[in-house]
Amino acid sequence: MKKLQLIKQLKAMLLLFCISMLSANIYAQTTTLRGRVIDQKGQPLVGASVKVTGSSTAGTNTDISGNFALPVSGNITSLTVSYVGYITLNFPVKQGATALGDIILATDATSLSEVVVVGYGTQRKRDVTGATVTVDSKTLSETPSPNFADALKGRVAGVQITGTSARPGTAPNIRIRGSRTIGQGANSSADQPLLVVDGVPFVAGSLADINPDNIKNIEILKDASSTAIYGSRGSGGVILVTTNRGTIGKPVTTLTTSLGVRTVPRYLKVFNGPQYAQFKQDAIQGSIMHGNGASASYPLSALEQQGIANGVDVDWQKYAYRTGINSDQNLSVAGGNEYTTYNMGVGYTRMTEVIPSNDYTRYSILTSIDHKLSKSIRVGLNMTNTLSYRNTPGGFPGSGAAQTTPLVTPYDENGNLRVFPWAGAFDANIVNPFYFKENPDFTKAQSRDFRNFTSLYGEVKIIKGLTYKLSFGYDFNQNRGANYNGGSITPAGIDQKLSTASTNNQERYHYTVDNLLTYDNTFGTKHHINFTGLFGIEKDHFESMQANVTNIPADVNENSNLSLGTFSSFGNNNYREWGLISQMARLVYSYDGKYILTATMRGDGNSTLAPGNQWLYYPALSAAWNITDESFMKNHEWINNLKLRAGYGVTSNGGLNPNAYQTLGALGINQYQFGGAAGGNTLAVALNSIANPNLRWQKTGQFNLGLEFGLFGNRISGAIEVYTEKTTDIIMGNSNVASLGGAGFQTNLGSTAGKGLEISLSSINLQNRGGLTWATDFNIAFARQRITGLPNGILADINNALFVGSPLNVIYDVRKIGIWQISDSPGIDPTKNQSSGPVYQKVSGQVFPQYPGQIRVEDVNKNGTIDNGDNQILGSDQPQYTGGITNRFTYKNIDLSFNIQYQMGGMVVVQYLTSGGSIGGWGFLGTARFNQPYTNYWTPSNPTGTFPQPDMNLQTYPFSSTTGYYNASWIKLRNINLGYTLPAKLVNRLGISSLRIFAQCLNPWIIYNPAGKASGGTIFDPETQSSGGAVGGTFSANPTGPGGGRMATVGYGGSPYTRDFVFGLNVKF
Amino acid sequence: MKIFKKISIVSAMVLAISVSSCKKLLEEHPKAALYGDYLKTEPGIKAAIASAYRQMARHWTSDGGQTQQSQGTDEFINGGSSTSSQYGNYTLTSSNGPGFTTEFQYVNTMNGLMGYINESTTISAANKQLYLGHAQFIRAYYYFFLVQQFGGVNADSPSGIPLHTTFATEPSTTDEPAKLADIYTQIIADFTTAATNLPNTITSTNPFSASGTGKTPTSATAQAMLAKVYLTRGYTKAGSAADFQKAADLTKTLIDTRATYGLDLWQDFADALKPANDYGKEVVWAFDVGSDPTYSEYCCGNGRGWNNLPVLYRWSYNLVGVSNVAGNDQPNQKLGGPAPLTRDVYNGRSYVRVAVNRPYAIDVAFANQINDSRFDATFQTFWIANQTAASGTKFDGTPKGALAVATNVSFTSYQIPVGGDTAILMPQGAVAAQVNNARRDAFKGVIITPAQYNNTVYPAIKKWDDVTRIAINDHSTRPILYMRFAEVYLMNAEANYMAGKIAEAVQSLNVIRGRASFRKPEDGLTIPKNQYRVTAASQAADNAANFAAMQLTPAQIAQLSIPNNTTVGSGPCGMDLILEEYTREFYGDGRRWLDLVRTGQLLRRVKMYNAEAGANIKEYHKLRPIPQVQINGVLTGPKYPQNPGY
Repeated sequence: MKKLQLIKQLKAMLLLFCISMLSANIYAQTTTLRGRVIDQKGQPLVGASVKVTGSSTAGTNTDISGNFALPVSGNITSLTVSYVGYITLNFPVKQGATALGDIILATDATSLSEVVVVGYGTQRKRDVTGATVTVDSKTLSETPSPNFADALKGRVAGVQITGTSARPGTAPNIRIRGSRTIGQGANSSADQPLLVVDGVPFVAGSLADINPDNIKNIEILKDASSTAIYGSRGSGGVILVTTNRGTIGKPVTTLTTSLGVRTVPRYLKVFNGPQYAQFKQDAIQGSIMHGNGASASYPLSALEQQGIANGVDVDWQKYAYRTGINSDQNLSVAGGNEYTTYNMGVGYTRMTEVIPSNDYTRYSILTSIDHKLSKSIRVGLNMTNTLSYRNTPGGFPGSGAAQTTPLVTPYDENGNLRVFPWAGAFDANIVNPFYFKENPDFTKAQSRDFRNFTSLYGEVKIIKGLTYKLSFGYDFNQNRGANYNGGSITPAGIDQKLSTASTNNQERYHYTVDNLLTYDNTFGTKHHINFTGLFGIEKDHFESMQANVTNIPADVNENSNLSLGTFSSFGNNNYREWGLISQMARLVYSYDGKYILTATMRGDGNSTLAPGNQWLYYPALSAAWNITDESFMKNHEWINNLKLRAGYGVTSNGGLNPNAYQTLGALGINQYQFGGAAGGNTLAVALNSIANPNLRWQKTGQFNLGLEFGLFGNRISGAIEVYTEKTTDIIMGNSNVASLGGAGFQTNLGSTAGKGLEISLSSINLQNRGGLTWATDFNIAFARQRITGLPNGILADINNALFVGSPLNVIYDVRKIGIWQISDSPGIDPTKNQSSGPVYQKVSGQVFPQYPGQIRVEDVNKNGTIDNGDNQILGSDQPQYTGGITNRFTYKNIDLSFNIQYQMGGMVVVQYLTSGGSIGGWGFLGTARFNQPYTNYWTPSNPTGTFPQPDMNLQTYPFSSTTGYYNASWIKLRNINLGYTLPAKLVNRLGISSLRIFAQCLNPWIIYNPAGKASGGTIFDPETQSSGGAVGGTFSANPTGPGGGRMATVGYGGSPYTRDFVFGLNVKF
Repeated sequence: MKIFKKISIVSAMVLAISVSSCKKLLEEHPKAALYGDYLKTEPGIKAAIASAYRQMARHWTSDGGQTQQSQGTDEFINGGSSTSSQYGNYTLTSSNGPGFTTEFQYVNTMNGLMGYINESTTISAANKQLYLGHAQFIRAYYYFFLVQQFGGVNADSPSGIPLHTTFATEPSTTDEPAKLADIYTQIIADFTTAATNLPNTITSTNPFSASGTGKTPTSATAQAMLAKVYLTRGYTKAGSAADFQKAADLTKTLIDTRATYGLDLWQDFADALKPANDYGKEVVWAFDVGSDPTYSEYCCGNGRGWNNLPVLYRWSYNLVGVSNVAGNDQPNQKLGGPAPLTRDVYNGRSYVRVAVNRPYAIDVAFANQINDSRFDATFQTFWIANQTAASGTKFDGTPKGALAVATNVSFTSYQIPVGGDTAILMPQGAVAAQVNNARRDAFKGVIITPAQYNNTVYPAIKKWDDVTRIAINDHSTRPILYMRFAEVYLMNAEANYMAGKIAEAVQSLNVIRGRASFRKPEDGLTIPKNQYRVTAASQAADNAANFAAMQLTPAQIAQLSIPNNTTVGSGPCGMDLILEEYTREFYGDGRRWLDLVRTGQLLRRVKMYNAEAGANIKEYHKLRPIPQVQINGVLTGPKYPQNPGY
């Protein structure tokens, strides 16, 4: 009912807009041919010309949905369908046929008029000399997500999107052509691409602030010859986002509405009740066998024993999640006349998450106006306002639920929450993880984000071909965080004194002023010149404050009045500014459209470096050859397009690292209290860093060779790119001589090299055969990076697991080769009391206490013991290849597409299959203190078990890090889209020009998961979710494994695997 | 065209503005932090001095800073949860040894500060003198600490640590060690001037105090440190016998003029350790901690706070159950399950980093627990049940009966237990010798005799307990007593002994030993019921008898006359008596390694008493390895030398 009301309201609104909606079709007396003209992606082509072949008069244009109705008389054998930028098609018409179905036009890559967005302007596509890829709005709409990056997954060769979180609005991590910077985590900003929205750098804040529905298309600049124009910020690649603008013509009102549900299709596989009880038994046996005694530190509690008697076997995770509801509503009006074009839109997105109390709400308003003041002057405004609320209160019950005993129910027989499910056990004071779910007022964590992103320009055509454009971009972002956590819950009651609350505020503005001079002219008939000159400045300002209090009187107060509590501290108080001055010149010279040469030079001066090192210059040179235009190609009609490109450019990743003021040597600020009383309170400043005036940006030089092709009437098209790159002067930590005051400082040391191959293919496999059309996009990318130099000429930095010649992020650890068996022990230990069960002697020749049932690792140096020399590189996070396949089908008015993404090779750290320690694994894995992920563990009666024998008295078993390394390969069906466009005739009567209903499924199926197989099904989703886990380190006396690091990891705590079903409709009036 | 003109003008203006603002755009004006120039101002100078004392407090309250000087000595073995066992078993390498970067950071800061103080035209002469005194004191303290840890091997050939007295403001890749003699000369010069620049007492206007409360360095502190430096140098190749005499003279003067500095001994050793006296007359120098979360990270109930001392040396009393195992006089009584003890505020939190080394600490140093009150004042040896638990069983399997729980157990305040049965008792000496199965059966709780001590089971040190804590896991808010006046007496004794003046040494030792004999009735509140104690009635006679018994006997004086013998396996010498006195007075004060190294007794005494450390220790372990970070950091010029042996 709500839906219907909404539609009624919309109608009223439309009246207000005074939009005429009557169709003006005239029906002829004979027959009418009906059909729809679409592009290869199924996008309707509006205003395409449809004529009877050979006729000069009889013709029509397609409407807003791509539909046409052409009244004809007599025998028609074919129609000529044409559209700017597409290859004109002679479409055969069978005698008597009236419904022609979909007519697909193939893109004409050689089209003179097709333009693409490049840095600081647009270019004819045929003149582009660098490696760029366009992703259009249609492709973006195939993935339901509040941020566009999710939609790029698996779509573009060489663009890797990692990091998925069930937390809404969290942006994934984007890598174009892999990483270049040593010692950075996979989530680090150092190798992230630069994002530019409508010409203005989008330097910080959430990607979700850009409503994907407002995006017209995305241009990805991959190679350095295209990104050098962004100079000091180009080395991670550049993503250019163009938002919707109005076009000349009747106003078009578009409503897209969708509603989805999000579910957790599968929980982490944990021990069930009987397995858990057995596991506790086995952990006692393990303790005895390892000489740790029979003392049962974690015996079954009375509640648990009662649970066994009553047959209780509950997977707590079933109670942990809820069904999330995603609602996405977008309404826009676009239109204009020859003077003014406009586009206005509103958007509303609300996602309630599978995690209780977690949700995300976004309101967005977009306005763009372009106005022609005179023949030579144009002005325009583009403004996006986004207001979003994200609630992510703590007490996430997922991980707590997974480790809670399956022998006790979360709720008692009266349906009341069992606040202390571990009552009577060692961890009697652990609060039921659902306490927070049941008491939503107990915690609050809200982030409110307001963003105004505005750009304004004026453009003057000075003389023919010469244009001056002044643009001003302003990005204001304000974020307020509101947090509250209730008091400490104990069996004696809630200690409200320990409640905490905080409020923080951050604001940031960023402005850009660009002066652009463009000269575009053709001399004679064959010499075409396009020159762009830029002088621009940017300034970024950030400030933040936070106050923390404790002892809030009641949950209802939350953080609303901090003065009700007791002040505890300030946090995150900051002030930061940086500025950038840029000069750039680009010259594109094209001879006869066949030979194109592009030369660019950019200079960036950045305030974050010390005077003398602030300016760096970035040259690039590239060339292209449109081979198809050569006369010798005339005979090869099946080749429609063949273009060879080559380019070299230099870029940096500046502006990302270091931050402002980092070369100045700030004093460490602390507090000290003399005499243990308030009278002795004093500031304490420490000279623990040192001024560092010699720092420069690191530099990446990249060479790219590309071949673009279009064959068989462009039914097969694509591109092949190969590249090789070198990054030098990588900013890494170095230390001042310790005896001179020490302190780390950043230096330009270290280098890496990379190379890669990317193949993109698009094909139209079937074209309207019996009404069926089938098109496929395929991409695959191979990227290899390795370290070529480390600070001070060393070949290996073992503490940080950096090795010259190896990939940037490797796992350096001992290798698990099995489990020690009873036969490896000399036998029963006669010195030990055997009354509780056999106590075995240690395995022969092992320095560390290695008993049967424990992890056996490889003795690489064959010295009879396990030591530092046995560490080895086990793998890296670098996949062998990545990519995706998208298949699109249209049958009459039905369209269907599905997208498969894959990643093959590489190694991932699965933290929840490692034990505690510094690597964030499963706490007390193997002690049977808590329930834990299902593992096939060793016992004397299960000698083929692959996991070590549990031991109730061994908190971290030796070499436990080695059980977390798995093959990182996977193939996933990422999404399925099904759409139906209602017949024009039907909807036109309702005053609607087109209506499409659609259904989508996100994450329907994991097709290939070797890690899941290897773990006995415990690893359900092997895709990297975050980073920051283990990589490597030195061997220690307590060999639990490496600590610290930058390896891609699979976590569990905050991110269950989710599946979405979305239903919606797209209406145009 | 009008519009065209307008636009041109506007854009020309914008262009002009952006060009003119260019230079400004590339200038940095940080506001949210402080930078080097701040150190040139008076508040900056004070803050930098405060920062150095803060760092010392952080060092001496921390896990590593404390235990590094306790582990691997005759007094302690590694605790079951030791996080730095390499110190206790001498498997130190250049990568897991102590660092020295922070120490040199403050040396460098003080080098800069002295220049800034002298250059300042705005600081009053009196304040300049005060700040200079502190800067000199801090620099000398750090060099003294560094030289004791890292050497120099020979007096006049460069080895060990470098010596810098000028301000380094830019990163460097070169450095070299200095001569040991030069380093000691510098330390002595700094402490000597500091002694004249620093005030005699902390007055209410002293900016490095809480309106007069506190024990930051005074002239007396500098003199005592100076005495210690002379004493230390006396043993080294850079020193001579004259250094011992100088140390003896300096300490003698301090003892004679102690009233000038407001310093003296308490009559009762237990009083010297009472929280109320943390800034009292016996404390020469203390590092402040306090209970304000902003200043010491201490906060109610969250298990934080700088001062780790009470937890580091404490065993996990709460893990012990109450069942016996038949047929064994020293049964394994450690059983899990519900224990009669859980952590409460009175009994404290346990880290088990360092464990008591029974063969020396219990059997030798603290063997006399009747005449000497210091065992009682230092150790907690009994634990009253604080939660209901199942009854233990006798050897025949019959129940012993449940333990009564103390009536005033508190998880939010420190309460001396009232009522309740003893769940764990660690009897000593003759009582321990009488423990047999019958005694164990008759006792509802667990009896742990010294023979049963190991790296997880041992008496707890209670002398640093913070009675103001309000939650179980909180660390301590008490200051660290870096130097008590008792040490001046012991230094005097040691210096005189080394100078061959035995009578003077005896005199000073007897002051400390005589004081240790004193007891008050209330000292008995925290010791087991049946342990020796004085009553109001017996106090005078008992104390007199104990005082007499504590005076060095002729046999002891004869031993004191045997010169310091550092040969491994050699028989008793006078230094053994002096080092035992240090143990009883300063057990677990995070200093033993330094005392053993100074006196040259590290190898001999560790071999004599500590099986764990004795297995690996070599002569070269008297110096710590030069940190790898230093060796790696020197990239130009000669490679930085490692200390011998590593």
